[in-house]
Amino acid sequence: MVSKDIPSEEAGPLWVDSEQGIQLIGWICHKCGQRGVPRQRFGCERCGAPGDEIRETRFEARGVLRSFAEVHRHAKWPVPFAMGEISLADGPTIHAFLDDEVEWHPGATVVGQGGDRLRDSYVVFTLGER
Amino acid sequence: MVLITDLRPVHVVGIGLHPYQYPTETSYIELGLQAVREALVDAGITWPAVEAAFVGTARLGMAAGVPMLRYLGMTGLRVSQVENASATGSTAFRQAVAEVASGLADVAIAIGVDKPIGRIAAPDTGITPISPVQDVPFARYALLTERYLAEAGYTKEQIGLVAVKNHNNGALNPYAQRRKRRTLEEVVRPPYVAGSLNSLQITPIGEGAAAVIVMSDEAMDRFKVDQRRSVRVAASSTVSDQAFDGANADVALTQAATQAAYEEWGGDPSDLDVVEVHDAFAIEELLFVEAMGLCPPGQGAAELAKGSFDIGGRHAVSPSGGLLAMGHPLGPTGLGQIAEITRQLRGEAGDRQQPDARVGLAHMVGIGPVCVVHILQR
Ligand SMILES: [Zn+2]
Repeated sequence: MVSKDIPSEEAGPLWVDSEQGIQLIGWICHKCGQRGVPRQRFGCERCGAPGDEIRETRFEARGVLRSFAEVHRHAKWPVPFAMGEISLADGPTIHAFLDDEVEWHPGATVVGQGGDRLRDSYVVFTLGER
Repeated sequence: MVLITDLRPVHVVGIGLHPYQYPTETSYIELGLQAVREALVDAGITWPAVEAAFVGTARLGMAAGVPMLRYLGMTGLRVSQVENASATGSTAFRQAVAEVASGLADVAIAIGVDKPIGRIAAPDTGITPISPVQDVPFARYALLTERYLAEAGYTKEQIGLVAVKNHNNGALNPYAQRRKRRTLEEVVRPPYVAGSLNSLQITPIGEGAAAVIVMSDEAMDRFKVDQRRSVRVAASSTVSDQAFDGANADVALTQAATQAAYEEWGGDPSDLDVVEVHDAFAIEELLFVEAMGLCPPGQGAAELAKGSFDIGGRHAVSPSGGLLAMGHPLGPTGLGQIAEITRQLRGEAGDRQQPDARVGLAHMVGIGPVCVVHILQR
């Protein structure tokens, strides 16, 4: 049930470091405007438009922490590590790594930062300013 | 839209199981044959009577059916393999029911058999996830549990009571993988797998088999099946993911599938005596009993603590022990639920018997997500 550990080259990066900070790369449907993360080019989950109607878009890696959990057992990944359910300010809800050094509380404002030594390819969310 | 129950009446007449257990060297063929033979004896028929078989397996891989069923005698019956993640057995049951309801067969069997050996396709979509662990079920459900604790103001102990009830029910079930009574302290204390999830609040991975034989009215006459031990299929509904805009998809699907089933049955959730729920994680039972309308939203934990969901309570919820204690070998699970409800409605559940059980509901969700619901009636 474990997904690929490292994003594949063909899939492209998950995020970019922009002047506005970290941005997650997602998709937008040019037919109906539906948006989502992560990036995909298969088709629209709402209206069914084919992949050539799907464009890349970016989401601010900012949001509110809905819940978090420390994971103590995992087949491939070093444990423990913290994960969170985050409602992005731009809409979608995602599950992502959290900064292990923070004492987390639901409702915290979170902001994405580039990966640390273990998770270079993935965004890790840390405490954002209020 | 035509519903299955708009067609010919269909009756469950035979049930059989191989006990669910931690993985062993036992061949899946041995597991499956034991369940089928038990179901044939239970129905009082022999293998040549069966016209169509639906073999539900999620992890065995290609061509599991005929290499197993040949040892019952090669009768040339129709065999199809069915896969629908955790709802595999439930879907195989629906296929068998549809086969009889439509008139394509008078006697059909749904068989669930599994060992945790094969791969799972869902993560191999070519889409890179935001984190490489987001599809690990216990991490997802730890996040769901923590969110429920924070937003509904529930305590770990209130959720733990689900596990206590289901482990104690499983202790009474000879087919259950976990047959040990548990205290609240045992199910809520560290170590935690993730968040505050103790492993006793998570279904164990296992193997096993379950089989259910269904018949038309004509076949019941022809084979002189004991009508007092047959149970009618009163509703069958199944849905997959829709654009729910942020709602918990498993909960929204459960609402949709149970509502459709209630309409087909023509009854009300307050009339359900026995309910087998997809409780792969303890938190799910509270979310789903509320979504099904067994109690008002937010009242699940209070009703549980009052004993409303105990055997002998208002609705016996997962008297088999549920996925938490009876186990969840995937292919068999949904059929194990049908077997438990049938046993309950026959009044043959022994120490687990819900008094005067007349109607039961079986509910499974699976990766997709998908949701399958059946209602059986005495
Ligand atoms: Zn669209």
